[in-house]
Amino acid sequence: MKKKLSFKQRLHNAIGSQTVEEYKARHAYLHGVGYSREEWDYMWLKSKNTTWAHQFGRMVGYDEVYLNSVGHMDNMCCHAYGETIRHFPQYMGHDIRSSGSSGLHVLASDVIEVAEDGKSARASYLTPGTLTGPVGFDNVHRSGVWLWERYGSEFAYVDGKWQWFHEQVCPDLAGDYDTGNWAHNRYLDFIENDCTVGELGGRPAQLTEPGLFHRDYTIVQTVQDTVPAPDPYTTLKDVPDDKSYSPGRWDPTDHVLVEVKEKAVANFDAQMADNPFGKIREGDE
Amino acid sequence: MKKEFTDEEKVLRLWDVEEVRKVLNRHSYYFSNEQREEELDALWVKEPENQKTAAFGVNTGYYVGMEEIRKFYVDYRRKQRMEVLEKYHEAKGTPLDDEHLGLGCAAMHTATTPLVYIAEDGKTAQFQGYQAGFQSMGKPDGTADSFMELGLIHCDLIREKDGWKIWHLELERDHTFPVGENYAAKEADPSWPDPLSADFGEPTDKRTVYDPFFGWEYMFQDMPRPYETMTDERSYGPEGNLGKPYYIRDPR
Amino acid sequence: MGRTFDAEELLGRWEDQREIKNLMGRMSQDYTLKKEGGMFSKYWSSRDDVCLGINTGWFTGPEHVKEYYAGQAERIRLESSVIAKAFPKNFEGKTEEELYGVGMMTYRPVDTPVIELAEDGKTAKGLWCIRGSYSILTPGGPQGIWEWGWFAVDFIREDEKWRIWHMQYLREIDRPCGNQWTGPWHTYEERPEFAAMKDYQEVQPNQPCTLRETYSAERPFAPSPRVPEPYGTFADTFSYGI
Repeated sequence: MKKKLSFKQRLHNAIGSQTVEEYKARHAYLHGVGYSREEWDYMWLKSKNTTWAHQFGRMVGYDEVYLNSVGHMDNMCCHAYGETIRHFPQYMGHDIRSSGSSGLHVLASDVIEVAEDGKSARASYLTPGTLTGPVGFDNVHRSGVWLWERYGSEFAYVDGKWQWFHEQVCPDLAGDYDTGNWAHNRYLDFIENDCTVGELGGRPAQLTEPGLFHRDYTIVQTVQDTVPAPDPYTTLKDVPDDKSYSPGRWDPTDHVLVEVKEKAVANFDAQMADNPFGKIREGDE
Repeated sequence: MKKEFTDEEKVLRLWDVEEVRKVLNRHSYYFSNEQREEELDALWVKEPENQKTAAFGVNTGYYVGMEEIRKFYVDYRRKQRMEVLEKYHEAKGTPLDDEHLGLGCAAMHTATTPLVYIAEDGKTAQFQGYQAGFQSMGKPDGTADSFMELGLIHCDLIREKDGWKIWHLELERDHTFPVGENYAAKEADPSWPDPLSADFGEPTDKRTVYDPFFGWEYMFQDMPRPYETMTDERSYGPEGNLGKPYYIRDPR
Repeated sequence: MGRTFDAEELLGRWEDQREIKNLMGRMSQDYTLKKEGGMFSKYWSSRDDVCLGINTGWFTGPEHVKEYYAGQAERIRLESSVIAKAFPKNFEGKTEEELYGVGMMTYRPVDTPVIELAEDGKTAKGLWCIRGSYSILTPGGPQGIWEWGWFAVDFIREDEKWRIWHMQYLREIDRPCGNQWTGPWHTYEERPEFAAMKDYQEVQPNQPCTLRETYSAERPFAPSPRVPEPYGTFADTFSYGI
């Protein structure tokens, strides 16, 4: 590919590729501390075609992504902090969102391709991450959770700046450091008819496209290539739907939009026991 | 004001980012392989002025100057490793020599999720990474004390004649999980007992550089970002802000 | 050593490095997709002197390296068929192809790369850490394993693409999750539906040797594979091959 492009085009694409790595890392750390506003204001494209998908479905449009990822997230952080200081007054005077955070969606196995036209970039990663913290959700014990996922990410070059356009997160595995055996435990859950799928995505407040977009590991799960690693490509429009991380939403300028049916809205309840979207029970019956 | 770079400068800065990452990745391998003396010679600052201000930080403080760093990172570690070997010596008569040092021991330290910025003036760089690793110390009965470890890496690098060099390195340990035990069964404890706290030694500049109980509270303030030139305030060395609360960083 | 490059050459070398990272990223992600069976043709050089080293020895030459991957694919096929038979109601109407890889998961993520491109641009070397976990089907059912190790790779440019020439895939920790890393391997009570796994045997290297012992409390200290250093031509540096 590099032979076809001018030096300047190749340089633009190389900088784009490195910017993808920068944004992915910035997101990982800011997300780890619940500093959502600081990433969504800075890196994300304010487009109706901006999307963020997880196990539970896809948020569509910057406004919906912001509602869930900033408003909803801050709400949860504040609620958790309010509970934590009842148990640990040492946290008084410390940051509401970030104090006590130390878990990260670790970045590994990166594959990054920038379009020949220099207007978009696509990336996929494995993220063998941690959801660890000095104080767990019960405010009594520590948290020692690990969560391993795959990422498919798309970026657009708009107004002279690389901006985050689409994200799709695919959780596969989770467990506790270092107890139990994830593969055997999931098997036992299955044969005891106590295996749930779709519980690794958190609890969004609103979704335009709800649905189980990626199933976490079970003994009966077939191979899922939900976010295929990007191949070299010419322009985002040419990426086939089955390879895209947001099918049909290739236009960052909002001239071409995908028709949206009625939005699925769940009343947010921080204490909600179950995910309103996506959870299913699966078992040997 | 944001500086405009020529195309040639842009290419060089692309490579600067790669080289900075590579320095920290090389550090991870030297660190894991117990090639600490070699690391200090190969990756750390050489110029006398930089050697004086070099710093190695742990949760409990800084070792300042290459002489102090060497005493801690090389000599103190050798002592720790020798203590493990002494147990084999007492039980099995294993010789207490360099050939047997490290018997039953293993470690891997990674440097994932790198975030790097090169100063506009090109003289310094800042790195943040995440270390997910392990250490295991064997015992003569065939068992071992094995731990998985997680923590942040902060590093200032400075450009010397032969390339990017580690100037201030801060390894912040968050969690130390005993292998085969349920970490979440341990109570949350503000005093944060770390089973491997001996790794911190006795820093020459003792202070709380990182308190795992409050975690990444100042991530947004501390993480690398585009910058013009290195300042004391930005530095990850002892003159910087790591570990300081907001009202000390920005007094009213 | 110490050749200087102009901006265009440097950019080309940057692109080469990105391609090498992409190759390793793709290969790593392919493990999660159970694509071991296609790895040789997708990633390896067509040279006769390719080789793959694992803890227990070397697979040398294309036929033996292919045998290694065929063995991995065979294990996946066997596990899939055993699982399909154990849970027939869940798989009605599914073809063998659709069932390939069912019920097993591998995460073999790579990070901490040190990559060096030869000054002549014909070869490259890289070292990566693996911090992963994978499941195997044992006679007692699925078991999740912690895997810590390395990929140490020599690459060669072939038809304008980077390909794997020599590779060491070495495990340092390879032990069941949730258990100690020393002592007997934890096993589960055998179940008849998984008994077929009892007789399964891994394909062995054609040049067996102890390339690396996995960790134990009795093992002398063993550093990682050697870290790549800058080099001019491949003749100037060490090889990850045999």
